[in-house]
Amino acid sequence: MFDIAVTEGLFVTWDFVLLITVATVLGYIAHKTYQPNLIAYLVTGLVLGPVFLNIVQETALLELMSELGLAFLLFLLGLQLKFDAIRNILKPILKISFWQTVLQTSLAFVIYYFLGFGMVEVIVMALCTVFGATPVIVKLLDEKDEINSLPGKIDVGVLIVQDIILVVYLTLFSAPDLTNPVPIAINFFQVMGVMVVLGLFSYAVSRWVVPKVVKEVGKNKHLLFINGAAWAFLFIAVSLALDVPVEVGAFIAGLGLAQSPYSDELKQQVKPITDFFMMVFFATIGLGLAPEYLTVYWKEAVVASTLLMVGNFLIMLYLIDREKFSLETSFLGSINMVQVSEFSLVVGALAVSRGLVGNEILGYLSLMAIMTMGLSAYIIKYNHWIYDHVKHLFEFMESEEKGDFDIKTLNNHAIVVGYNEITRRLIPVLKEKYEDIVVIDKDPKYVEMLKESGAEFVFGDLKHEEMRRSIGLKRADIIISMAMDSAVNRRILGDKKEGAVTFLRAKDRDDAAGVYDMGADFAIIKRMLSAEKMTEYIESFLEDPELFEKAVEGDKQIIDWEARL
Amino acid sequence: MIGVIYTFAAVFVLSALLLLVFHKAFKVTIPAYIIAGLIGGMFLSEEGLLELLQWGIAFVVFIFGAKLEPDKLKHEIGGSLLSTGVHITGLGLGFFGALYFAGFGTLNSIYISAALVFSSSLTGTELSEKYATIELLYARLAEATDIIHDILAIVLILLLSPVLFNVGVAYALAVGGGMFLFSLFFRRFVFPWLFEMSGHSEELMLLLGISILTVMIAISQFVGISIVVGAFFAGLAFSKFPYNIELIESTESLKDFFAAVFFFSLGALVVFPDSLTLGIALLIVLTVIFVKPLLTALSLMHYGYSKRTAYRCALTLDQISEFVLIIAIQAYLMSAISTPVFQGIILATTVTMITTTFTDNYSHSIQNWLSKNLPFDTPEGLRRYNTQITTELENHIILVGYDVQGERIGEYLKGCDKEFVVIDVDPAVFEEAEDLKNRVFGSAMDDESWESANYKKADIIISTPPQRHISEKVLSLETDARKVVRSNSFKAANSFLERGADYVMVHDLLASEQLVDYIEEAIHGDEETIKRLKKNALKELKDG
Repeated sequence: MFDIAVTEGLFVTWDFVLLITVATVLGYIAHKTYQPNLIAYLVTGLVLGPVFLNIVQETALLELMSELGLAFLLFLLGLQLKFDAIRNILKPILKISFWQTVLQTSLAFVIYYFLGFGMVEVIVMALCTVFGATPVIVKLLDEKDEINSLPGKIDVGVLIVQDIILVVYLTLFSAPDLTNPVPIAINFFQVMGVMVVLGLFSYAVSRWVVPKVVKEVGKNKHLLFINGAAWAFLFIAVSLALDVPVEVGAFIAGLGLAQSPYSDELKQQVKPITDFFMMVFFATIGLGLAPEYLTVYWKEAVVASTLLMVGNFLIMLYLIDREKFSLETSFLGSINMVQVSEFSLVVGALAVSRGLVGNEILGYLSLMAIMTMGLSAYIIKYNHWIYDHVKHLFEFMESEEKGDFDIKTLNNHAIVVGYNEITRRLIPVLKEKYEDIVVIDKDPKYVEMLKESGAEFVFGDLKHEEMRRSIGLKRADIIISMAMDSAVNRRILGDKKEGAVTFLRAKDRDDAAGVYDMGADFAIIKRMLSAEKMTEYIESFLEDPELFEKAVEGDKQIIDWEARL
Repeated sequence: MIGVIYTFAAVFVLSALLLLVFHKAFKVTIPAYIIAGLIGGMFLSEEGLLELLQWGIAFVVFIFGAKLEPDKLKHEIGGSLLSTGVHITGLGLGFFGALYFAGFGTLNSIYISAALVFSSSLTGTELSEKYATIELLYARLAEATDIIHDILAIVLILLLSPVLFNVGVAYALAVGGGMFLFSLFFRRFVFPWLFEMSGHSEELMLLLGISILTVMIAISQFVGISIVVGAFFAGLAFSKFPYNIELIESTESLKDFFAAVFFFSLGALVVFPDSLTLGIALLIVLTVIFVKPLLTALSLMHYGYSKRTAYRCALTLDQISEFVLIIAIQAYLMSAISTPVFQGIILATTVTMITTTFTDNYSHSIQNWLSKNLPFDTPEGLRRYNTQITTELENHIILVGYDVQGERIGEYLKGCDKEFVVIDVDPAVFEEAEDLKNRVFGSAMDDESWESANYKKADIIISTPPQRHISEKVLSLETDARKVVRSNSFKAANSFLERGADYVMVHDLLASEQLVDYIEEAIHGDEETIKRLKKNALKELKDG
């Protein structure tokens, strides 16, 4: 038995209402000014916390949610790391990432050293500010439909390697005693050992067990999500029990699942809850900062941000160029990556909690994150424009031997939404005209079935914007949708390019009228189509019953053949 | 915080395992959580978990509100209102009186009666295919009834506020009314604007949704009414289609997360039941699965629905709403109801949610059995539709089923002057097609219907419903007429052909042949071809 008092602190309080409302308002402002949402969240904390109004305190609920947020963030991060996606550019990526980490850390080290920070602070800060901000880059490139371009792929590849390095850093910071290298090393190897075991377990399960579970769960999104959450919590709990950072456990849980073809849909499910908890996490960082923490090093933050943005850009430009990519690819790939990652705050907060650095360093890191992310949002938005205006300065780097890999992007292709008896028969017809056919379905069971048909299969739901981008909806020539969901139809018609032909499913006549109103070329009502064909047969029957016999003969053979399958 | 993480791990891992089992066996989720909670409760401390329980309530109710489509009430409102009225007076008030005089006390009696009255359209049935056949009359009736039940549950919560939270009735109703007006205003004017402003961003929709939800909940807490009311009206404020798609899409996983915690905690609260708890649970279960469907069916028959529709509809309403769980836990937390009553309600809800999957799966056979063995039928004078034959039927066509396919064929036959008669059991189709000269209102399973259609002298019988037993019935008829039946599976279709069918319509095959024709035309043609296709299709739609 429990009483109502226990629920206090974990349910809605005015503090929480204020936090979320301000975050929403600032989120809208960020959206209108092309800024990443997480800046809005950090600023929310700063506005409501001691820096400005000082009206909201950290509560047990906020603490729990930001803890969960961090774990889910790492889980999501793991879920996004598909090694297959970067396989063909893996070699250059590994080289670029390795040297990028070494060179940028050294640059940051030198800058902080000359800015007069203490040695421990220099190390922590240099480690913190070396990463690019995955959510900012991925989201903005995705919105510009550049995530699958070559520069986009290089960036994503480097970010993947960086994320793995980050997990190593988290491990280092979790050592019980950070002043003595021996326990750090012991702890490091212990944690690495556990990581390898967990990683192998995660991989094995995703290889052999996940397909079976997914088959069982089928189209049920709710079950998919709960199973995903169970998987993440299992790893988090095991990590906790083994004294490994929970973030590392969550990351490995995601990483294993990511390699299965079913991860995209789960990713879409986990994302909103992660977004929400992360909002709380970043706002909490803002709440925890006192005004003096922000002001101590503001000049240093401005200087270091400027130097690091320029320095990191040049380092990346040199490294990508060294791999003999074209100038445009090298330029875009490096200019996208000039900001400091949100993980600087994650690692920074950890370093503060371990007593390595003071809160003023976290304040400094927050300032840097806000400045560099804020600026880089515009840089990424206008990356091509910038390139066009400054490329003459870099012409000396161009040479004959440099060129880009050919990476395949979907263009002028056919998209089939929903795989069933009807669309199965369509694929050969579409194949006559289109080189690429993408079939997307919410039911994963067709993965194997479609391998042979020459169509690419994607497991997921078109209601998610990212999913629509990943199958190149905007570039498709024809879209045939069997989804009964008018929400999906709406999204297809909203995103398709001009002139693309759309055949969209409608439930009934009313629905069909709606589908035409929205601009579809043809509304598919299964029963109507079937009735039309049947009416043709009856027509022949009324003319002469023998004609009817002939007309249905072919169908009878198909029925006989299908029944044997 | 560490304890909470372990608790979460236990909640989700246990739930996931049981969900897989229950999904395979029954296709339900809520009982899986409750039983996971029951097992988990044996070794877990509830602390930490119960603190998050209210979030589960908030999100479940919020999403329900956001998904609410009042348009669904347009159809069959009369029948739904009548059966709800019977539920409230017959079951609700009847049992309230009996329980009250048996000494259960006012609140205990109210809550048990609520469990008897309200059936469910929330989470549990999302998974079952309850409304998959929404074009059928009984399903539309059941859906409208469910929505009315859910709204009444909110009203009940509002009315109980004075007792539970010690505020005046007028005050509670005024606050509820204010929230209602706010949500209507927001839904109509503010939400579409904010949606467009957000650039359709899921993340901003998520934040906006939670903002309004928390504001409304905080107000509810502040004025002293149940948070369910605030959460419901917050959801209602976003219920405008199509703007609500992104919001539902993004808040749904939060709902899933907290709902798991909520239903698990409910289960964790159930200890080994004593005889009183079992007695209460048994009373509720028996009433909900036997008495309530019977009352529903009788009331619908007296409204003029056929007994088939009445039984089928009644069989979809034989479970307890999760709203009942929500209002019960709130009352329990405030010590307004006793432990046996609370536990009895949880047990009964779990049981009925499982039994309803059986009645759902076998509803056709149960309905047949009930129709044959119970002495009830729609009173003659009240029947809304009757058989009508106006021309002599010879060398004619018999068309079984008059939905989209039947109607399309019927339209063609009207045009070519061939006599035909339609057999259908759904009154709604005759209501829409009053110009049919010959119609038999009855089941294709009854010989009487076939006699009326003069099947022995027909040229061809075309049966459009996909149900196996109807196709089999057609094949068993002794007549020279050619027989065209329908099947959804190729295997069954093949066996029908072997058993003498002249043709079997498989929708997927026919539809795909027609669609392939169109698409071949479209991809090899030019813009004009597509325009022509569209024009023809629109004409077809209009004519139909």
